[in-house]
Amino acid sequence: MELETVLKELVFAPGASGSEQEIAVLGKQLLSPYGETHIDVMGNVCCFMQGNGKTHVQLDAHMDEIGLCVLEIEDGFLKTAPCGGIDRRVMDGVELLVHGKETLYGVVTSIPPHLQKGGDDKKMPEEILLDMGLPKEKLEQLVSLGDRATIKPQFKHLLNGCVSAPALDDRAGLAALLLAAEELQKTEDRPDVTLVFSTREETTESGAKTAAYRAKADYVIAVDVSFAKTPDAKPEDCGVLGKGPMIGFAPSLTHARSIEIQKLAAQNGIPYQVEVMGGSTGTNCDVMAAEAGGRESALISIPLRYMHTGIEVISLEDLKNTGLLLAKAVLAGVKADA
Amino acid sequence: MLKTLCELNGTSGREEKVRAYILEHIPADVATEVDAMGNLYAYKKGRQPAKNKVMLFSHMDEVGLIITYITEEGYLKFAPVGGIDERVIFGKAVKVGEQEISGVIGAKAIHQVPKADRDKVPAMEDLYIDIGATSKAQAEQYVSLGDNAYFDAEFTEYGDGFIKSKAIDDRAGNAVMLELLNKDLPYDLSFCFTVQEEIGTRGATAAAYKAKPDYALVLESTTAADLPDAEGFKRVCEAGKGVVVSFMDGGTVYDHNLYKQARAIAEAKGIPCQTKTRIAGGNDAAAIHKAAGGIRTLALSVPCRYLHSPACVAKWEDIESMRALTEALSEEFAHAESH
Repeated sequence: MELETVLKELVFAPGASGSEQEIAVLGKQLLSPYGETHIDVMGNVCCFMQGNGKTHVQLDAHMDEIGLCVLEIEDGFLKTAPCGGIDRRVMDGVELLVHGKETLYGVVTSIPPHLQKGGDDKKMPEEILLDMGLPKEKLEQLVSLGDRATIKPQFKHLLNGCVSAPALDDRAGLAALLLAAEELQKTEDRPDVTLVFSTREETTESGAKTAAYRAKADYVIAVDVSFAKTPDAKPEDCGVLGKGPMIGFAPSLTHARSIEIQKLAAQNGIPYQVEVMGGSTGTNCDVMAAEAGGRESALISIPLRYMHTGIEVISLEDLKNTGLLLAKAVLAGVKADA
Repeated sequence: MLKTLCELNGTSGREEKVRAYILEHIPADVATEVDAMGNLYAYKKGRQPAKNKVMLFSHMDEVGLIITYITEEGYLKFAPVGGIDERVIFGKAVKVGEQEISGVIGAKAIHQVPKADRDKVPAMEDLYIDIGATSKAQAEQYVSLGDNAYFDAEFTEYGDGFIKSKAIDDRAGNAVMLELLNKDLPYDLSFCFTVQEEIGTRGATAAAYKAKPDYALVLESTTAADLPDAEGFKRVCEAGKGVVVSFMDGGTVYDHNLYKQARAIAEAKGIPCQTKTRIAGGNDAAAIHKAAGGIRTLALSVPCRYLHSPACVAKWEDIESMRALTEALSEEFAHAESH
């Protein structure tokens, strides 16, 4: 699998929270070679890789991305609200695609200084207004209230094998799952594995919750992105870009699994970092672990800078290592029970 | 042509790529000259000599960033070149240095920002460019202090005849002038492509003194604020309502007779035309109208939303109106009886 090509393809398929149809079609196509694949009632893409039947491990990465919902149609413009945790600060001048009857291009307006209200002119207005360049009648034909808009994809190369794109949260996670599936295929004696590309993580985590209920696996591992250090952030709150996957330690995760994955990384020469959280993890792991009677859970995160912006940055090396470590963690799942 | 011009990178003081492109597209029989500051002059012969020297001006430079420092960790600190608001560069991609490598301007994730600060953009001095370098030494292989960074933004056509790009200010003016340079004109006409407008109309200061035209027409772009919640004069001017002729802005009180004449000619010829309803902003006219003992000057502008951002928005038809009025006024002033 050509990792960068697959990642780019995933980034370019739109899928705002609750509107994941296009990314789901691509996801299904990419997962199908590894096992029976279907799209469930919540829109999740689920792939079952038959193994030795002794243990069942579920892998999760969410396929939805943050976006906007259309609230009002004006002459030439659309008024929108966030769909997921948009970083309002970065939105001025951002190019968007509005997914109406057709895909339409729009630009987020920026308010000229003389029209800004209040004393602090560096404050961002709450509303996000899209400049569509089309008259109201035309917009009403093509766009319905509730339609989603996503950041127009771009894919840039930075130094040291880093790439920048929107929605790497969590399309990078999808790529890691695909890498792991490819690795797992090489081994005959492996647990049953359900790979899930889940919906609605950025809003309600309801895709992962329902998928976990249906799969009823013994053990779930979620792959998401987490904060990589930037100069203005506290080192204790971050991992470091390029230093390997971040293995989660948290009260809500199974401690023994966290330790196990850490050992596996060390034994296999896979660089890693430890990410410690005080309560739950803020990822799909939280709902999946407690669903349908509960199960063991682990979290592996890909370090990422500038989360929830159009310029998210990851290291392809970290992504590759996340996929490899994930495969090792799955195989360890069966050994522990054997 | 406008697409290529907009996508060329040239901040104030570094206009060479834009100038080279313009020079390439000026017909061989037109006399050209480049002065010590980098202003480019072109003198085009018409079908007949002009009674008065009419000169068109547009500036080649665009707003951008200049690299001032490289941190030990390999991040680039910068200063703005020209008027740039933090809000339009935060979270955006840029191209940096001679090798035009990719970089991004970010900061810690919104999740890590205290709730009270989540609607505030960090100050310019706290921003940095991330090129993926892991050390100062590595960054220095690609970037030198004094290099520029530019908005990494494609020229895009969208909606009902709209365009979106960086640097529409003032490559739209450059494009209209190039079009006229390649056209058969009734009278001799002079052209000046200026430098350093965005840092204080410096090129035009030198050029107007040197060229001493009888009439100057400054082709520019100006802020349009025609957003849904803006009403009346607060809209300033509107995309799609034609070329903007100003009576006054932050830098110039325009010759009122000339202003009225321009509006009348536009009306007579059916050229869509509007004025701007906010006395703010400035352009090369500020330097030109008071150079060399005084020059009759008018500014004709394309209404442009989100000026000085990676996503300036304008309408083709307004650029066309600017071209039409420029031609009409050039002809009128060329044979005007008194000046």
